[in-house]
Amino acid sequence: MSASKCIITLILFLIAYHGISQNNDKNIIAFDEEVLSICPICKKDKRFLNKKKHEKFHKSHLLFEEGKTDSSYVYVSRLIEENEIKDPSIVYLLYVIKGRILNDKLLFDDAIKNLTTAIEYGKEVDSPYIINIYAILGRIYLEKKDYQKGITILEDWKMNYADNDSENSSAVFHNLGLCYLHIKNYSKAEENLYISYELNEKAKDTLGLARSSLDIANLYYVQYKDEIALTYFEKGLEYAKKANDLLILQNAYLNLAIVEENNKAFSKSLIYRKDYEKIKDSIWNKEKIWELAKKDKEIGIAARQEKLNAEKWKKDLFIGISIIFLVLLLTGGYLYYKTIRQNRIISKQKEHLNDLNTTKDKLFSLLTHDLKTPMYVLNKKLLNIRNGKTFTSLRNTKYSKLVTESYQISKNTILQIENTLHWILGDKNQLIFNIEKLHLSSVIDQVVYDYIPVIEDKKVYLKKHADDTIFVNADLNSLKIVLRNILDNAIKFSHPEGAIFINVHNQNSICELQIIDHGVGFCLDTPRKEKIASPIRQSPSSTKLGLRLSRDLIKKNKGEFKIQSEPDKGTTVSILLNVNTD
Amino acid sequence: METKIKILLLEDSDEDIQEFSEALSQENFEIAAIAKNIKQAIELYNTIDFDIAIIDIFIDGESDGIFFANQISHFVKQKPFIFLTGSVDKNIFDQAKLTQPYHYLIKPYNSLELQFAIELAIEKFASKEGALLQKKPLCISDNFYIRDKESLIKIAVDDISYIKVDGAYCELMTDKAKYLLHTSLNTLKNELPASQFLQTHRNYVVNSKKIESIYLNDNLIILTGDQKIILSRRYKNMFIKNQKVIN
Repeated sequence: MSASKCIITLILFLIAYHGISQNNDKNIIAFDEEVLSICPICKKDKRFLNKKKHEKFHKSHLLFEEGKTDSSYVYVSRLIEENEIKDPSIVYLLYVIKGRILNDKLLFDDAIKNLTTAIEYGKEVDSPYIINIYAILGRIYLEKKDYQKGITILEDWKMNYADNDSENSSAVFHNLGLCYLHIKNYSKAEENLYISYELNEKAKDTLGLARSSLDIANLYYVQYKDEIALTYFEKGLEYAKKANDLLILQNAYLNLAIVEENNKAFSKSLIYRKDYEKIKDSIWNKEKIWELAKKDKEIGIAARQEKLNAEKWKKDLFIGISIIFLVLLLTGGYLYYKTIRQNRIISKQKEHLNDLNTTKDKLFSLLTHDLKTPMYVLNKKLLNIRNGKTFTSLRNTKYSKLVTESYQISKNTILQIENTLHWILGDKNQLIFNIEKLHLSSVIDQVVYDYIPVIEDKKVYLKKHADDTIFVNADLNSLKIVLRNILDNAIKFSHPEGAIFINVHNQNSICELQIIDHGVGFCLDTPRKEKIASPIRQSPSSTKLGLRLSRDLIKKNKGEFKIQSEPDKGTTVSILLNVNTD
Repeated sequence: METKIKILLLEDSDEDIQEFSEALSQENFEIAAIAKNIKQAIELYNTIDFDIAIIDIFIDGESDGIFFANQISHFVKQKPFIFLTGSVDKNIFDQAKLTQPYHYLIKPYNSLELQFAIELAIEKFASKEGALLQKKPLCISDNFYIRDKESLIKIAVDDISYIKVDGAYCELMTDKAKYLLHTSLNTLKNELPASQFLQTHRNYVVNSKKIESIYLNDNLIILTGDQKIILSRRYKNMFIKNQKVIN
């Protein structure tokens, strides 16, 4: 008996499953109609046209109807979450769609939640489709074997809606009956199954009748009312044959085979069993095809998944590269900005430095000019005193000596100022420098002219030996400065009444100018010491500056500057310049 | 007889004018006029008789001297001019150089430097650089410039009595003085107006304006100042012919 009970449970299961699937087509039509009557876009209600949320809803139910449940689910969930649509009839539909999709996915717990919420909204809006939700819920509870809850929800329906005669009512009553059957409440089960049977009879639904008959048969069979059970089994078989549903027919055969076997009517049982096997084979074939199709579908899904993965990988790669590129770009930009800033700072500093330099040069030239002019005036005035008629009468007095000394100091200072000016500005090409044809002898005369008073005062003998035909290529101004420096030194370091010779001679287009003194001389390594009791306190560095400047200026004139000296014997400076042969 | 070399000076500072006239100590120079601004300078340039202009670049702190030099370069009357400045700044020099001055003299200067500058300017103006030092004369309009005994001398052509060859040199005679020139008689003759200066002898060229009397029979010409010149037979006919044209 326990074995047969086990089988019966199996049978009940199958029947329960079919009870719902049979009604799917009707469900869809009823649902579509309801959606059409509610969706503002399908209704072409202009008040709600162009509203995004309504468009989304429209899209979601269209997708659902097309069977694209995944996409539809996304829309529906989002709409529910956003909670923007307040119209309860639409909210009701949203929950229905969500619940049904979850149910299709066999996610029963979530489906129950959504469908229960849907029922609450459905009651509010008085939806005609609500019966289907009860039906679905009932089936879910059955499949979950949560019979008590199934009964609660279906009794709720029975109380509120059973009067509204519907095509689905028989299935719902059937399921309610099954729930009672499972909890062994036979009287209630009998009552509901009979209602279902009657409704099916009314509707002339052979499949429903077959199912109801078999269920009633089972009901009696578990109560050991074998006689009635048998008649209902046979009735069920007849209906099943008419309905042409293989599963039901198979169940009918199997049940009858077991029942006849228990009645020891083995030949009858064997016939039923054989029929059962026959159907099983054809069902198995069907199942196999179905499985193959399922497998194909799985393979397709796997391929798609692979494609999706590849695309995802591609996308990830693209994003990665984009990020790297962006980082590089930002780094580059930052570095560029930094460099520009640095350059700007440098150029600003350079500008500032240039300004400072220009100011310094201006200051120096101003200073030297402003020093030079008064010094020159002083020099001139002293010279005038020296050359004055009264001066001769004062010769060799303390007074005359003072004037002579002062004159010499002023003369020397002028030379130093001149040297400084050239030293600072000549280097930067800020001074006149114009090489031209010069008559060397005349230039020497012009320089010597300024030293006549000093030469006279010191009683130095100066002799010039110059070829009058020599012209050289040189810059007049710088040549004069060189000659002044050398002559100044020569006179300064000569002994009183000593001799200075200036010789100019020509040697193969090079002209040599020599200035020879027989004064103190100096050791070439060490700066010359002033041994002469000279009133001029000239520091060695100023002499050095004069010589260095002379050397540079002659070099600039493309000439050569040479100096030879021996202590106590004298100094010879020789300057080589290019002869102008024009 | 030499005339003085006349100078037009553009200078605004009295001290510098004083300085300049002191440096110009030699007797054969004279300041013909002093302009203290450009307007005066332009006026004087066109009205007075002078031989050389000396221009201070900075007038009232502006480089007006350069502007003035630019102006006179467009005039018909062309004279040598010298820039005078205390500045050794290259920029100023480069600006000044564009006006093509005949010299650029830097302050302070002594009288020798000033004289030398004037000599160079005149040589450059006559396009005969170095001529004076080689004892060659320069001829600018109606004047001869000669360097004699370290000084520059201007002789009006009319003041020349005669020129006599003396070996490699020529003697240029005026009423009062004799100048030795290192040049050939032919070169000199070419510089002088041919109708006025007549050759009387292989070695003599005479200024016809200076002739007092001619003794054809004695082959002798007497000039003002009682100078006697030989008239050679070879040049006699030519001389008489030219003399008649003049008279």
